[in-house]
Amino acid sequence: MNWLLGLLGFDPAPIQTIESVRFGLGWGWAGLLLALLVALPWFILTYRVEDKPCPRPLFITLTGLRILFVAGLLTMLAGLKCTVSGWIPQKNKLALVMDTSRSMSIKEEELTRIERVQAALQKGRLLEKLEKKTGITPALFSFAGSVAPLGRDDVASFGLSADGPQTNLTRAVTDITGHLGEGNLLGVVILTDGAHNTGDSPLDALGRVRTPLYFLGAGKTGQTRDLAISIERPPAIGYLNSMVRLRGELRIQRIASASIPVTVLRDGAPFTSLPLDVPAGQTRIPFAINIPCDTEGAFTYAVSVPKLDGELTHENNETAFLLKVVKERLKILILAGSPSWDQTFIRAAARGDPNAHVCGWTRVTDDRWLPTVDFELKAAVPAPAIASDLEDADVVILAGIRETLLEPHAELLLKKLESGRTGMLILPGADGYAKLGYAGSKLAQIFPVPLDGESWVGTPCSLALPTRETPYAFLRLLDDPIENQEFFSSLPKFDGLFTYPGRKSGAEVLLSTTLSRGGTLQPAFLTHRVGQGNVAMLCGGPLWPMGFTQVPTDRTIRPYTAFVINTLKWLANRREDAQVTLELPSSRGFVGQPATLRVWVSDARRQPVDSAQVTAQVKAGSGEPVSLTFTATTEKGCYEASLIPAARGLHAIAAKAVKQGSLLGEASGKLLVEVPTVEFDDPEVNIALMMALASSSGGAYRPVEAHDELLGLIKPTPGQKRETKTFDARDSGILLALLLILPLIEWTIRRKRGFS
Amino acid sequence: MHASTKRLASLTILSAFLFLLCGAAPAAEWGTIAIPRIQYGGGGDWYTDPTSLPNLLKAAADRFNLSTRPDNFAIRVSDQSLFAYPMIYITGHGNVKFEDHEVNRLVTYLDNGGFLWVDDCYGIDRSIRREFRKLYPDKELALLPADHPIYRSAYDLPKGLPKIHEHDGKPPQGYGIFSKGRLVIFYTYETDIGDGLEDEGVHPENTPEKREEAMKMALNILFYALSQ
Repeated sequence: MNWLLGLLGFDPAPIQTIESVRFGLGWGWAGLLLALLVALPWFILTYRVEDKPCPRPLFITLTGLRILFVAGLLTMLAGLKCTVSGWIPQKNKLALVMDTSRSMSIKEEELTRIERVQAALQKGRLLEKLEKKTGITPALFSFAGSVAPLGRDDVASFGLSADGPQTNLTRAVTDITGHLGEGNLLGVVILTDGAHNTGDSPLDALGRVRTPLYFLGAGKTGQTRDLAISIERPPAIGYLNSMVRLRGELRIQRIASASIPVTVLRDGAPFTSLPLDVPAGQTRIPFAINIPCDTEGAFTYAVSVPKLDGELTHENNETAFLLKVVKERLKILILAGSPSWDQTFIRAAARGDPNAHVCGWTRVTDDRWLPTVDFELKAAVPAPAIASDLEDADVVILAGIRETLLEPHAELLLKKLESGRTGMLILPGADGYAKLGYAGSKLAQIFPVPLDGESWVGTPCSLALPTRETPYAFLRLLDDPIENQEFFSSLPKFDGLFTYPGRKSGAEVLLSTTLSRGGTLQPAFLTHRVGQGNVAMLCGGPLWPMGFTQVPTDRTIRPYTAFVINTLKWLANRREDAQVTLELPSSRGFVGQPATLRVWVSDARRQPVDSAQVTAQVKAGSGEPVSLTFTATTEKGCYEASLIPAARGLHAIAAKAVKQGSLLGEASGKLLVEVPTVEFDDPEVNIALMMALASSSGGAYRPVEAHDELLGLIKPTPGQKRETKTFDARDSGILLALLLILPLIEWTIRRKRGFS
Repeated sequence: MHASTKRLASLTILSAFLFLLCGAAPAAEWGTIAIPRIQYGGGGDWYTDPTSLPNLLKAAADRFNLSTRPDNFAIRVSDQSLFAYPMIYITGHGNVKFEDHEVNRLVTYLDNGGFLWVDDCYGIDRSIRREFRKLYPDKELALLPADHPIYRSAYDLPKGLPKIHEHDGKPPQGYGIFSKGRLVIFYTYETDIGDGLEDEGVHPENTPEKREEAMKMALNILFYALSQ
């Protein structure tokens, strides 16, 4: 019957044995009969052979063909259906799953857990016994963090090694039942230590599994002795001259000691040590260590506990993390001869950058100064203590302070400027710098103009960007160069300007004004270099209305903030545009575990950039670099890529962003990759979990050595299920073709006999 | 209404009109400090103590050589020139009310570097607290301790806010509202610093010592606003 159905184009699967076949009609049999009673007599009566001699056999043949066609046509129209019933086999599949996670390498009573599994399979002939008992060839799998299918040869030769970095029992069972079909599974036999340590809790997630889970527990309880250390979310970045706090946990199993030393190594050299008291009966002891960030750079810190004899592993006796100590904070020192509105707004703009750090001294009288510490104004003091602030400053803002105050620090300031360790922004003093004593002094060299001949012109004037294509990113506040130039010219006018007889060699006009003196437009904003240090000088004012005119539109002062911050960063010899930032989820990754890398791309105005091409090269030690391509996320300006480290060690990541062929910027970072030790966090064989899962699923638990007992508990008989399928004759192309052939044959015969 | 009351009301309106005519704010010169008072809605006498701010700015110039414009002038919160001043001043005895658009504008001004000094001349406490809640619904007025730097900027005032004018026998209280890490509003309550800044003889009960205390406190506020 199967072949006939197949010939007609019908597939009875999954019915394998057809037990009965029934035909039916959509109109019902009576409907077809009535249709035939109407159609056939009319057909026979109207049938003609044009009064030509027609032998009786031929007449019968032609009439028969016509009747057959009409009957067949009416039967098809009546909706002929064929219903087949039969049996389909059920529960005809079986899975055998072996845990190959690292905890299976734990040795108890001279045998590792995986060796116990091997013994059951090879010496105990578990597979053959299972086949014999159920009559089903089991599908074979290994699992750790995920499931992998195995061949029979893999099991026979037992080339499996316990190297999976984590155990996900939930995923293993759901993947296998999903793959083989839960309805078809007689059961899943799992050889494991039950040390589930990642993913959803099996007790919650596998509560509704209808497939019996048969556990063969590998390993012995009460045998492990271990000392382990772990750290919780180690800091990735520390700021120079500050401290980072490292939190962690010490885990002790069957080790008798009143105190255990925790040692911290920096780049392999002893850094600090902490004796940790072990309260009696406690197996988990939290700890915290302060790590001072006293030197700039990237350091690998290793936190370790002593390696003792007889521990189940020494891998978890040490953990490491990468700490980058940066002087990232942009330290701005404001030295002001009097309080001014401009400084207030520079402070407000600097607050827009989380890395900016403003300190300052504002003169009230010669014996009264107002200190600012990290944006916070403090109570007045009799004299400024600027030496340490100056030493630490990345940018010094000079705002009308007398030369006599700076003179004792002139050497330090010039040295820092010349070495590029600081930059200077000079804001105009109320009476000009010549009057403040700088002309002819040692510090006169910081000014881009000769101070002799300094004069104030109280004529309002607009600003002008001298060139459309300015090379300075901090002057590119709008993408379009023409709009950018117009933006500067539309800023509020300066109320006046200090003018100078000329400018020093090498000084450059950043912003000009509309004020002409002797046919020359007077500069508003100048720059020059002192050694490697940048100095910028603003010749007029006020500066602050520029910022505030941006406010009423959208309650932000972004262009102004970007202008101020980018200028300060440029002065501090930083990348003022900071267009590309690499963000690592942590400074620490694990072998085989994906780490999501993010790159943020913004333009010079700190606006996020989309549709950039972002790539990165990842290099680990002396290995070949791996290329990563980032894809845009839903967050504007953010691009993401996933890195799965293959080996432990320090990975250097260099990312770059390109848009329309031009490089927007580059960023780099480091990732310290470690082998995960989560497998040893809770090394005991988890019999309770396996028994609970077996019980809830209708399976059973036995130690792997007692696998024969478990086989006795597996119900061996596969079940069957009756299935019915209906086929519509109108769906068969063959039947249609046969029906159409009938009038064709009749027509051929009639033509040959000379009938019409 | 009595005839005398009518006369007083007419004089008040006339003086306010003349005040507006004379005190129209010219453009600020570079580096010159000017402080406008805010002409608020609600019917309160925003124009009271007309000599207080000029005296404060004169003192800032005389004592600290600051470049100031000692004018008494008023602006509305909606005026474009609001953003041209580092500090604004509100005082009075009556009701203070800001319209919704003024609230938005004032918050923008304060959050971007501006500073508001509110001096209760006696009677605006209830309404100004209501308006503070409109400005910063999620922030509370905080009582500033006597060792706050605002009392130790230009002068050391170890006892904190001085008491200038006695009204209800309550102690003087200096409150602040902080936004984005800055003190944006300073509210002097139960002291009437503005009275103490007025010309000599306007408030005969204010002794020279009291007036000096008021001036020191006002200069402290000015220095704090410009230096924070």
